[in-house]
Amino acid sequence: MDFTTWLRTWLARHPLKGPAGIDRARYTAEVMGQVKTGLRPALLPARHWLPVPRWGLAAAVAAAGLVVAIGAVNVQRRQLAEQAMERTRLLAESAPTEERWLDQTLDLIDQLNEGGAEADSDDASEGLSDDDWLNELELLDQAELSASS
Amino acid sequence: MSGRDAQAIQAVLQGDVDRFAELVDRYQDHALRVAFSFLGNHEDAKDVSQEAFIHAYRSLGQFRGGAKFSTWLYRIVVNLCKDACKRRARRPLVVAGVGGTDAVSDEDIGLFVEVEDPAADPARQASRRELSRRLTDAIGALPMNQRSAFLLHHVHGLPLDEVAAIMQCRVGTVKSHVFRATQHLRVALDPWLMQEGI
Repeated sequence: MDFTTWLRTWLARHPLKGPAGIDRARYTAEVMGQVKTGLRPALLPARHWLPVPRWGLAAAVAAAGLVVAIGAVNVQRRQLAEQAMERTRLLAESAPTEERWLDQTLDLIDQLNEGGAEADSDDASEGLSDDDWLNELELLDQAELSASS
Repeated sequence: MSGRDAQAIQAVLQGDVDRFAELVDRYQDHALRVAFSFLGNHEDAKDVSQEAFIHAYRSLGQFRGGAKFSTWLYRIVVNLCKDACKRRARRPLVVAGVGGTDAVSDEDIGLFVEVEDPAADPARQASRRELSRRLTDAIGALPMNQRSAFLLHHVHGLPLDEVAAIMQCRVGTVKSHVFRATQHLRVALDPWLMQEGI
């Protein structure tokens, strides 16, 4: 006798043990008790719930990405605007070159006046106004320029 | 699918939930036996088979009637048994009581009814009981696909095409699983087979 034949014969003589101590009516009642507490089968179609959270999740991710992108653009725009305003402020506060040259010249004149008043009270420049001084300085510059050339 | 099953399913789907009890009554013994053959314990088999009926009820809208209701139900039972075996992998219940720590009654040891032969001497009877337990052990040690194919075909007597429908594979694959399972069992039982003169 080969093994397969012996096995089949053995299994036929030694059946599977039956359910021991299980009340059939109670078994059915327990199943039906759970069935009736649940939803009706018609209301539970095959995995139709799956696409809902999947689309919902995708939409939420897209919305979050959009919010982040918009936020980043806004921050960048605000920074650019702040930089432009700062540049405008600096430009507005900075004096033109000619005015700066004039201010520096007047400062020098003031310094000379302070030193000169103590050194020589009979200086020829005594009694000259600022405008006269400026004219003289320009004439001196022009004289030096023509002499050097 | 039988006409009675189809009528009951149609009624349930139309709202007559109580008609589902007909299906539970009709198939509970089969479902219990299939679950017991995988789990080796009647209490666990009862829980899993009841869970299978509840799954079947909740998914009844998906049942198209292409196969028998019993085939569809057994597929659910087998899948739940596989899940249960995975969860309890550290203490396989098919071999409950053999080297385990759980308190298991003698009735729960082994899957098969032990047939006493009054003519056989006590040593021979003890050897046959041991063979029965070793067979239970060896079936429990089979890979899950081989175990499923072997139990459904050889122990429950289901035809190969129905086993294939339950396991959702081809008939040829089922044949292969059954063949390999038989080879494994032969190797595992070799010492006892020699005593039996096989």
